[in-house]
Amino acid sequence: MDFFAEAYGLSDVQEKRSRIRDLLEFFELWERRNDKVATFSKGMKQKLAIARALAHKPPILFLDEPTSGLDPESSKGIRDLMERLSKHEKHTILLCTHRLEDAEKLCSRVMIINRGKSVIVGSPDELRDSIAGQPVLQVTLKKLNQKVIEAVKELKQVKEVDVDDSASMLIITLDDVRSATPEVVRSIVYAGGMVLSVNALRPSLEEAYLKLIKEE
Amino acid sequence: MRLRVQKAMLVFGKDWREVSRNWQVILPIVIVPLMISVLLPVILTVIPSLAATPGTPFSGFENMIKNLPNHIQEQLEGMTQQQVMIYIMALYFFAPFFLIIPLMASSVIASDSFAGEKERKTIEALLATPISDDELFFGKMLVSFIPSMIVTGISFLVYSTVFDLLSFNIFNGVLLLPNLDWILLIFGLAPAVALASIGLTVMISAKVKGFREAQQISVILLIPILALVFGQVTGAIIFGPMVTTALIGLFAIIDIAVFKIGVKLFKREEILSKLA
Repeated sequence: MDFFAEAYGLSDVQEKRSRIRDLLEFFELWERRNDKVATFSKGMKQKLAIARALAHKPPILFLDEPTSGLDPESSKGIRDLMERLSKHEKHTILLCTHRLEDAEKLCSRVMIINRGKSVIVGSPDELRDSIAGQPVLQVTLKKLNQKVIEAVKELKQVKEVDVDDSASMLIITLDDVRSATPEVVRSIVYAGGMVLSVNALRPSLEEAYLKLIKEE
Repeated sequence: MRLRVQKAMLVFGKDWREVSRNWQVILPIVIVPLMISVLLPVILTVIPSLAATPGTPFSGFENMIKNLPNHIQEQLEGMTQQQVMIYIMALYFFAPFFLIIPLMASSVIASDSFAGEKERKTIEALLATPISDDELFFGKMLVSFIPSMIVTGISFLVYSTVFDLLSFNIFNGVLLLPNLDWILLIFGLAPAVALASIGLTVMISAKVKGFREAQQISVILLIPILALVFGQVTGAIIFGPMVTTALIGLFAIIDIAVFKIGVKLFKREEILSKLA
């Protein structure tokens, strides 16, 4: 840490020491400061690598596959750190990842690159909407019957209804989920259906990505 | 861009902290010079001298003495056989070994310079720092150069003390070392030769994948130095002030060339792409 802080131009001893301490405490490595890095776990080494990169307060932090090769617990630890760095410490992070669930959870803007070319840029919501379309409405009932299905199908906002008998579930495609949902729920209840849950389902970024790549 | 010595020293400091804690690296650096500067002289010279059996080892150096230049042979006139042996051993026979000491001492660290970083997977972060190629290369050379010169200096001090203790009695109060030839050798030629060898080894270390590979290839660099050793032992080359000064000049040019070529061949992108 000392070497990297100085290599990046942090030559004032007091400033350097306090910065290193702050970073090691933030990354929960202060207690291990005198231990050899060789004795660290993979996750700790990754944390140290990020702490090292932050030593000189870079305007943008570039992270290339920071959770690659880590076990689920360490992966989560690194993801939580990135979230804290971004939200609380206000660091701009450019994250390069193949893990779309990471991008979905952490990023405010996502660029999908295919064969070296930018395919699409936007927030995860924008990307899902523009690639995979509007969300669908998932309604789970205590018991599914034909009367309820017909009642839903008759609504003019409804474009398509998929029925999952085994789960007593309706997957309803609508023009606008937000405005049409109350009307759909009311018609189900009027038709005698007992509603257990209602969810607006968005495709995951991964599903949207797969669709996009297929189209490409 | 100008080479910032402070940045090179930063690289030196970082590596030295690692090296100084590693006894596997430190032991050969200490043991080999000790063997050359203390053990060999004691076994080959001091013990036979003290045992008053100077004839045995002396006979092996008759050829060397025959091939010595006239002005040295003149210095030997009037000396006893024991004095001749000590004089030749102390001043000429062991001299080229002091060119091997810095090479042996530096080879482990120099081989480890970049290859070790590749093996420990620390090179990526190092190459990402805003330290220029020449500063990085120079810093890596210093990590090998400074300890090897310290070891050579200490070895010379020990060696001089051993022979002076011996010569004080045998030459009636005359101290044989240090003399001009040796000062030029230790403080001029040895560093110049070491720098060339270290530069080449660091260059090899940057190109190969691992430490062992770097060390195996760098052993080849000992061959020209061994040629000087045999040259001196057979009397073909004698490290007089003229020869030593000429060699210092020659190696200074080689050092600059090696450094420039080393920096030119040091390509960060190539190293990083090979890691992937």
